[in-house]
Amino acid sequence: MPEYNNTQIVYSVFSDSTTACTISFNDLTNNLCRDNSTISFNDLMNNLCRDNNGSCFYYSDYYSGTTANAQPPRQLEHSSVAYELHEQVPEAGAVVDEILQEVVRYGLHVSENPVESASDRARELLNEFLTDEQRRIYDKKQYIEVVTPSGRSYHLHRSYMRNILEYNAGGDVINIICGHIAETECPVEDNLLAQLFHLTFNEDEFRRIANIVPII
Amino acid sequence: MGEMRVMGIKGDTRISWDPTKKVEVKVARKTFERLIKEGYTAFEIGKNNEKSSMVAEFDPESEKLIFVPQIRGG
Repeated sequence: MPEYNNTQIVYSVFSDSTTACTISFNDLTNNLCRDNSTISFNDLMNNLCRDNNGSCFYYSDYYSGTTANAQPPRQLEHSSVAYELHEQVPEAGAVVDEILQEVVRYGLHVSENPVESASDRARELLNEFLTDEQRRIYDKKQYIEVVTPSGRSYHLHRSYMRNILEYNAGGDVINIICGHIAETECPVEDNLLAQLFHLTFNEDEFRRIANIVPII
Repeated sequence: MGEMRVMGIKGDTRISWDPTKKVEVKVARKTFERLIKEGYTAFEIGKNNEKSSMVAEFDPESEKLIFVPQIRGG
């Protein structure tokens, strides 16, 4: 399952809305496996109910028990809440490509960062905005230390989710914060830079959006 | 020259415009607005990374803008 932790899944609530929403694989399984049982991505996909058109549906109550004694999906009923699932196509890249085509047509200069790999480009971009001390700590410990204009202190660990620790003045962790870029196909250093910018210049709104778990 | 750096799955892409050329400013503004509409957040970076801020409107005189994809809670 770990390799699918960042998999984004598009779902639509069958009976309530035709608007697709996105949800992470972890959140999906956490929401659906109410007894904290776990399920692999393959298991999930193999147990989907298919309708005559080949669309996949997943019953929200299917995994209300453990995976071992869960009942097979019932016949699809329009009154049931079901989830249409498929892996999300990374749309951010497509949007950028579309915009770039338009921009080039009007003669603006467009260039990709000359560094070869996406992760190296992201690391280079991140480095531009770290102080020498932040860079030294990041190289050694894989996290970024930041004190925001509000005076709050954070460590941004090299990951996508649940990677921000908030510290009090005594050096104790008081909150674990999860707020990340929606496009998880982006390099992890881009995510760190996005978090760094938001915490520095947009902290209140970032904290409103993020999931903040207090450490008792 | 102004520069936008847009984060994406291939790393950042750079778009630059000449603030003295009306057509380039117009397209840069349109690009800015399109990216904001797509959920990106723009941060204007001052010289030596000082006086940086989040911005919601395009300023042709901006020297460097970083576009960050939409943020969501986990």
